Amino acid sequence: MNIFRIFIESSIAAQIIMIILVIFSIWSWGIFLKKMFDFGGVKRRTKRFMSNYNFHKDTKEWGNFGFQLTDNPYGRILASGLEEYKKLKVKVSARLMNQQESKKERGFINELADNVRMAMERTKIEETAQLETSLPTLSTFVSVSPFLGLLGTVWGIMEAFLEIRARGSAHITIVAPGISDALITTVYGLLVAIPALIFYNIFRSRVNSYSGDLEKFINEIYANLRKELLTLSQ
Amino acid sequence: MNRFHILSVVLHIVIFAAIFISGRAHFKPIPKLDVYKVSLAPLPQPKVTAPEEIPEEKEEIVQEEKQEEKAPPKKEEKKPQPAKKPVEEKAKEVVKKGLPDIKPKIYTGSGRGFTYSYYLNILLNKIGKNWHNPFRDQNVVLRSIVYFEVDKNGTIYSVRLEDDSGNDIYNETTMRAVVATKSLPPLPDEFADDYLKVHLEFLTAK
Repeated sequence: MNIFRIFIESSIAAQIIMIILVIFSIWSWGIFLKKMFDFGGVKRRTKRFMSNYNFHKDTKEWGNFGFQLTDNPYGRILASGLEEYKKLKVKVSARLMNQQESKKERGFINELADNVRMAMERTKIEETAQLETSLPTLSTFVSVSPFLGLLGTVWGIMEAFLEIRARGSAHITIVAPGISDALITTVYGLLVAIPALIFYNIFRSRVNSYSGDLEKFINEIYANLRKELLTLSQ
Repeated sequence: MNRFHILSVVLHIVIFAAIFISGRAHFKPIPKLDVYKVSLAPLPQPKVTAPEEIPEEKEEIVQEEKQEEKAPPKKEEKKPQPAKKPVEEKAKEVVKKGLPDIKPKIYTGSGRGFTYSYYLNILLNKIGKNWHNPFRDQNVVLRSIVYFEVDKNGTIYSVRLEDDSGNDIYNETTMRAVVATKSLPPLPDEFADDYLKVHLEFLTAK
């Protein structure tokens, strides 16, 4: 099979569809390579951060992680939680200084601690959105490519029938070009859609898995910071 | 366009190049042939003949006898009518006309015409496939007629040799061709009669 020969001998409509499909293919493979690189980097930096985090479970040490608080999603979530915690800590300390009824403040602290959680949740959403970038594009390619191929198929068959009508004969030399155009565009469409679908599913499952891990991490950080805030009131 | 898309372009170029190179290795140019548009000629329609009416023949014979009686002296002067042509000549004529080796004459039970040419084509095809002519491409002229009947279900029965070719082996092969066929498709629903009489002529001539 000589794909270039088929391309050159195809009709203009089929050629346009094939060009669009090749662009889609280049684009989807580009997204795949970029996402693989991005996920690889995130995984590497997260692994480094987590090894550091597991050795330093004390909340006072978290602020000293340095660049590790900014170069990976876990670090950024922790940084946002710590920032919110510091603000609350100032507020709670000031309140406790003025009022001596510390027991009544426990409810107030619990409410404030939710702010820490919300700050981390917000960062998590941002991080997940960052990881999900280009996935809608991949999804579009998955859905559109077979339809484009199908369009080429229908177009080719239509041309074949028009040729039959124009020449008044259904000879194979008249019908075959249209049918081959029709089939080749479907092949192109599937060749684009199938890898794109595989890439989409791989990245979607990775994002879901990552999102679950971040949720667990947020719970852990939240529990520790809340405990810290409550100890202030005692 | 970031570096990954450029990498993707390079990857596509490599894949296309690989397909192109492998395609060239296996590609055999198809010689361009002149295509002529042809249309199929209609299939030879078997002649549908009604059964000979015996009374008319009798009348003719009587008339001929009368004529003979009326003019007895001219009898000798009369050129002998070209009676039936020899079988071999007939056969050669048939072959020259390009008709198939097997030729049916159809008679219906009721005497009405059997106009289903497609059925006769099937009949000729099926029996033709079973006929292994031992004298094919040999310089002999042989002709035999096998008579048989086909019932509504297409079953062949009452097979007999109607016209001897003079060669027992040839006769045997023609009979065997019909017997081996055993059955044909059921007769057309529109055909009102219960059975079909077939006189099948087997002809060999180089």
